[in-house]
Amino acid sequence: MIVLLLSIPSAWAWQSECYTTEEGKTETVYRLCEDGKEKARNRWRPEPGVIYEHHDLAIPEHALLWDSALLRAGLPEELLSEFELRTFGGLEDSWVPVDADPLFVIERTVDLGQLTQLPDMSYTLYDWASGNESCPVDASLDPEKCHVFEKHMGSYNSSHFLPQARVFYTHYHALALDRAGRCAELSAELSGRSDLDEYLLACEREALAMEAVGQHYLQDAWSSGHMWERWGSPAASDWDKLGTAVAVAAASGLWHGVKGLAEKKFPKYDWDDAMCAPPPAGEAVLYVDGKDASLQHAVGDLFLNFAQNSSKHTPQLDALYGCSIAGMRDVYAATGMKHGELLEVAEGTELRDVGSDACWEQRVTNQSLQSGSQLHVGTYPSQRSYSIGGGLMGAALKFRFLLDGEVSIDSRAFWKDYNRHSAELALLAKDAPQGTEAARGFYGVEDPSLLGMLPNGGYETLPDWLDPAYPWDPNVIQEQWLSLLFADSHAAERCETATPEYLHNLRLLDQLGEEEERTARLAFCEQMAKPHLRIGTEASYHPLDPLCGVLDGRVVYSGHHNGAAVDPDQGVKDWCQGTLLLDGQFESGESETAWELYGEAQISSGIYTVIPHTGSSMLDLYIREWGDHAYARGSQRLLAPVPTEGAEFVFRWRVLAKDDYFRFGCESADPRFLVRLDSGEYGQDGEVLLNVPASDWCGDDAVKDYGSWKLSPWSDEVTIRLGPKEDPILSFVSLVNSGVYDVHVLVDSVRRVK
Amino acid sequence: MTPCIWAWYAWSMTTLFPFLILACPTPATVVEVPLLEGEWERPAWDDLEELELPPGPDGEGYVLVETPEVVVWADIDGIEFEEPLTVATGCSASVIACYQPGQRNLSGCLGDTPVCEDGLTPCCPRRCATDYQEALRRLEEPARAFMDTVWGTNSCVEGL
Repeated sequence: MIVLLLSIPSAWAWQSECYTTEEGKTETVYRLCEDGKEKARNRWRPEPGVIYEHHDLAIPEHALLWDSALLRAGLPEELLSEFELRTFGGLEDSWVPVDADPLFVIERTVDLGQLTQLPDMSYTLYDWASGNESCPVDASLDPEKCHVFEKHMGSYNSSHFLPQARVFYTHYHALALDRAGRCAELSAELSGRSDLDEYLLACEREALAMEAVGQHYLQDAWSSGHMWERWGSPAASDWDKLGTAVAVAAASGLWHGVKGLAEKKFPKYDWDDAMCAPPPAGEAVLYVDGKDASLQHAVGDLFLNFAQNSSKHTPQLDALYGCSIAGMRDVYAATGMKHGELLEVAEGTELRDVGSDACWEQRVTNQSLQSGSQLHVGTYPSQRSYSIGGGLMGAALKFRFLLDGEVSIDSRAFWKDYNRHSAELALLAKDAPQGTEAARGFYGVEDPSLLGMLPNGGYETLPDWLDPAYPWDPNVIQEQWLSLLFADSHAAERCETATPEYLHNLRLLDQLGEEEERTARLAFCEQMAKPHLRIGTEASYHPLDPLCGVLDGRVVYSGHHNGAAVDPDQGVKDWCQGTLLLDGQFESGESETAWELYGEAQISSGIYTVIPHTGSSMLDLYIREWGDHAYARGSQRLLAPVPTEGAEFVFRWRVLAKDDYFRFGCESADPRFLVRLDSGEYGQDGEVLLNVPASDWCGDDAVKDYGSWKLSPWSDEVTIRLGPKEDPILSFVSLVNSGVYDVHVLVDSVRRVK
Repeated sequence: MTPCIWAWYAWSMTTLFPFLILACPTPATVVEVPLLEGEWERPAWDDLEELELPPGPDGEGYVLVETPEVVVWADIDGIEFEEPLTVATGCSASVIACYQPGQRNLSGCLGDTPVCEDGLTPCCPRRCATDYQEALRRLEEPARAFMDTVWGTNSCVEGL
């Protein structure tokens, strides 16, 4: 008995795959990813040595094509290596990148080849960057449903077929070249600073990542199953309704073939896509090459390995490689080539101009498309063909939506169009078997449309949801996601846009929350601050200027440091953690005084500590001088560097407190926050240095929520001139009158200005 | 259809009325003389039943495409042979199965396809053959003329 069960394929293209592992009750399961979030969170190449389910079908063909092309292209082989793309999540179980208040680190280990598969996993790069958690094509759609291929992604994938594929590739190639040009400029600006190469390498990877995403469409254009104009548009504004797009996609799927999904879903049956598989003996799947009008053999999805071992298919692969290599060489040559020099292409490689018809005008013949419209049951070379299109089966076809909500089409009109086109195709296959009229969209016939949708050549305008052109605006959320995905690559842009306030707000949060959160906050601060942070003061800073210093962008100063002995990376870490302050050296009279933390306060690893409320209204930060060193006098005291008499110190602070603390403080009659400088026993001879009004630190806009904690904004800078007082005490005076609360006073670096 | 076209068609089919050539103006190079040579397999509805497929929705026919969102099935038993879309599809399939350039042209195949009015199926309505000749004169290209005849806005299949 022959049982046919077809399904709209998960990807009509050279195969793309996503691999994941799952801990079962008794063993680890190695399986393929579900559509949606899983595909954004997992690897797109199999782990070496691991056997996944459906492993015979789960071949990352797109990645393999990129690898093969790159090896022949003369690009540095290092570009085959994996690299990390790190973003930060700010909502539980969400991979949407945030630019503040991260909760966890998101590490993506990828390589450029894997990124060629992206258009089968996500709509766009920003979609992938956001973890497939939005719906680029329709903001009103549930993101999970949006990413189910059969439900929505398939409706948009006409761009994976010629000639729309050319339009999409051209867009991404232009982005890649644009970015590459910026990389070259940056390379010149950073000349002689090899310690800043990380930014240049990241920039080049981004340019090539754009090219890799674009080459998905180029590769598809050289799969026999895609060398024709399927009906449809990637812009929903061209549809009258979703049902039309789904129905048109289903019809296109019938012609393209469904092997990839069908065999996974029904593994005991064998299938071949009639247009992609090698045909039975005596038949051929042929295309006409746009370069020289020659007739060539072709295979497509899932048969890359066959093509690589078939001399008949060498022209097809050579043509694809010729285009692919030209594209990637164009991009890499436009960068500063920090990954290495561009060598000659491999011997025998015939480059094609990737912008020319030689790379985009290949079309399957009428006869091959007619063959593709049939069912092939069984696999090469013993597959059996059953006619659907152009045959009597057409009279029996019916269609029903199982989609949520009100989705419908005029079923009779659909089948009328489908059978009409099947008849046209069957006639063309007999009249002009080696012609390409059908693959060129039936133009010239009275009505080439299917349910009102034209073949995709009728819609060559880019949809508005595609990845945006540079420069990316951080105020546009999708562009912000992309900038965060390629954070190091875009550090130079942030030199102009990141404010010192933004950077300061990333600091001193590494002891807040669980370990994962603390790690994320520190890592985020380091990543964002490093390009801006000059280790030292305006008067004297580390000789290795940070990126933004070299580019005359915005810089911030870490404060005092140990001169050149401070490693810049360590300096950034210290600044983010706040320990740098306590490691500083300050002149005291004629001798140097090293300032360190002692005692229990040191456990807090920095300049802040938990100060339990003492029952009074005072939170005290003592500034004391004790011989040559400053140190904490007790477990409830934090010691800050003590200047020499007459010196001026500048500092800022912020308060992190349990929610109740803020509530009580702000609800009191006089919710001021005072900074006083006292001498001797606190409370005596106090000098009010600053009186912070309630609106500055109690307002909803000013205070950030961290679960049960709240964090005040940074204070303005306060300058303290120390007089000849033996025991100065700086007091932060809250107006909480009773109770015991957990409070952190987070102190910025203290800068000695005199 | 004009009387002359009818006459041309009758002549071309039988060659018994050559005098009509003199009675009518000569159609401008478009009338297709039937050509019907060699053997071919005539499609039959029974062919479909050879395929055993999983049952479709509500037990109707056989599933071809199935996802959680959409189902396409072939409802063989539910084919309404009188339904215009069925007629047009059957007519197309029969003629195209016969059609083989150099051996059998569309005129010949239309003439060889059962006529619906005779109660056979798959079939083409009787007027399709003559409409085709007229369409051929207008459109010149046989495939376009055939498609226009069966699938066009003035289809030879009533009600399509």
